[in-house]
Amino acid sequence: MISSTEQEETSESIDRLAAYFTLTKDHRIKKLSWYGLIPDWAPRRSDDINSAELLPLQDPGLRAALDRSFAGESSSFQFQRRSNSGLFCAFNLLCFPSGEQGDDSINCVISETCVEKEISEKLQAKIRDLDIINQAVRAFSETKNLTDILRIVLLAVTSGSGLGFNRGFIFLADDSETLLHGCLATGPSSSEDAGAIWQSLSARPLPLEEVLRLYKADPKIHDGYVNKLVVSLQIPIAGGSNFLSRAILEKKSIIVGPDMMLEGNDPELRRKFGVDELAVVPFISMESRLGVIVADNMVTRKPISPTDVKFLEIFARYASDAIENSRLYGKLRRQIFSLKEANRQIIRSRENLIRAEKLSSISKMALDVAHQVRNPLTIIGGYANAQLRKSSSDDPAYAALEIISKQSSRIEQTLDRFSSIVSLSEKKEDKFVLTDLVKEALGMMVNSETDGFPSVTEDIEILGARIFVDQGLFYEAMMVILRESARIVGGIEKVAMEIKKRLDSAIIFIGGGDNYREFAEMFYRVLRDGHGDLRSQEMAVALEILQHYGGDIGIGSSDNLHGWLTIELPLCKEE
Amino acid sequence: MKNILIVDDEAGIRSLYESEFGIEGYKTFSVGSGEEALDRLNHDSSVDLIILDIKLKDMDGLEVLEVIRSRAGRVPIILNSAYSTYKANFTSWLADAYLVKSSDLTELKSKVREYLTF
Repeated sequence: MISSTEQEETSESIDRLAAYFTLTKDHRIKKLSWYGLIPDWAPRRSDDINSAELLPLQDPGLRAALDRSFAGESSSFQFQRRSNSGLFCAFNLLCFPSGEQGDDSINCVISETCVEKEISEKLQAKIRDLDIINQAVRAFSETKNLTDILRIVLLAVTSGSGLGFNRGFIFLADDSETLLHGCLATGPSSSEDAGAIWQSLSARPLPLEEVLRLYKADPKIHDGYVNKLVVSLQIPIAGGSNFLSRAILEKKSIIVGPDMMLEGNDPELRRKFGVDELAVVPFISMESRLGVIVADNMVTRKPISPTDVKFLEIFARYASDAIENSRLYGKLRRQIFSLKEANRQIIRSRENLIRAEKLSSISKMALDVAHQVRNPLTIIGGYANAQLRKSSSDDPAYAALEIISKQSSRIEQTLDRFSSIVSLSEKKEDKFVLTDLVKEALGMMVNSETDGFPSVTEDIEILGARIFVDQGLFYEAMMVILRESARIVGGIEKVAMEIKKRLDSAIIFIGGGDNYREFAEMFYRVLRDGHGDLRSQEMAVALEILQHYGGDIGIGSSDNLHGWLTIELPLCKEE
Repeated sequence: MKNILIVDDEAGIRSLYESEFGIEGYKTFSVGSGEEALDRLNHDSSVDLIILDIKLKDMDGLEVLEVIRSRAGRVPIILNSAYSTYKANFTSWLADAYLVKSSDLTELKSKVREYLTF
């Protein structure tokens, strides 16, 4: 059976049990009225009741107290009585004179002191619960590390000085809230295992705060069977076909009961936990579904009550805040890191640009000189060669023409070598780290003062992977593509890039804007005209550059919603 | 007789090529600017091959090349420049051949022969 805690929540209000009556001198009871629940041994009549039905009249202490009140004083007396069901209760009797002239009867009040005790015990339990939460919250506030927070949650849930469950399992949702990933679990895998653990713990029972301090950093928490079990689980959220996804989708706690199998709610998942009863409580933040905690009493087989789940729910709210804070803190740190990285790239790119510009000016000057020399040289040498062909060797000018021709050719060879050197100094064809090149190209495009930086996600496998290209040409191609992308999505900061490795190639996915699908379609219109020919001269050049290095540009779609421009480039084989 | 249009802003080069290709048996016309070249091509459909310099006074030889190609003319064009660096410019790939200027005209003559034989 699955029951929500809301449906089965019982009232915790307890009516104070009390009886009011008048006692005559001959010990007859008049005008009896009950407040609260009438005990099973009590008379229901209101008048002419034999007081022995209600009071232990054989007790001399009681008799003395009654006598004092009949004599005009207030008195009290405590007595005990067992109910028909065997419940042993304590009562307090208060007696005082009626105060009316001529009336020798007294007024009495009986109150049940064991109810007071019960209330007091409940209050103590509430204080203990609050203390547990207080200690856990203090521990949460001391760390921003997600793993530490999850450990604190599990220790608080499973520790005897905490919520006291036998086992706890934490599942966290991914950013898109499509999958629950098993993250961390703690608890025994069997009764024997539990015996060994509890024996070691019972040797020195510790308050929760101490447990958290001692075991928070214990690496053994990751070694247990239950932890290995939980990290192997990935549960789809959509559809709510199992109790974990239902709890997170409906943002509601669930007690999974023994007849779960009959209801067809993912019995396979249930078997993995290996128990008849589980409590599943979602971690919910202001806007996100963060995950769920599963707790059970696998070893003690203690039934999980709605009160247990209610407390787990309250605790989970505090844990949710800690998890959310940790995630936000992590996100902020990553953003700061990426901004710093972007800043470094911009500075590096600017330096590169300045260097390239200087080099380019020198090369241009040198080539201009070479050009200026080559034209007259072609004319002089060309005419000399033409005259040589017309002359015979005994012609007096023949030797001079031969010298002019040879010297022209010699200067041309020198110019060729010089031009080659200038060209080589410009050429930067080499193996380059792809992700660095992409970021540098972005850095050249982004004006740090007015533009934001586009989002760039790199697959871990692509980090450090190199491509063989001319650096300048690659920048040129990337900048053309990025310029078009920025124009389509309305700003470079709205462009989204992912760089991934696929077999021996790198794939750069470029998309972004409000509608990814629209991006792909618009880019296709930029790329090709109605006949499939390249529309833009610049894009044709970019494509030529990429194809020159074995790459290509394409339009792709990972699903019906996401369309991308893709750039594929062969990766260098690393030694 | 095949007709060759020579486009170069250096009068000495024009004169040398006219003389050399004349001896080779071709009819040559030469102009000193891109505009003149395009004008000539507009009115004269008899041109069988163009020898085109890149650095011209009025316009870039590569622009002239693009205009000629955009008119869907399949006349063979040999880029003939004092610069070798334009080989890296993808527009130059629209030409049939790219030769750096040299006092030794053997290679240029050989290319002309190659394109005008077929």
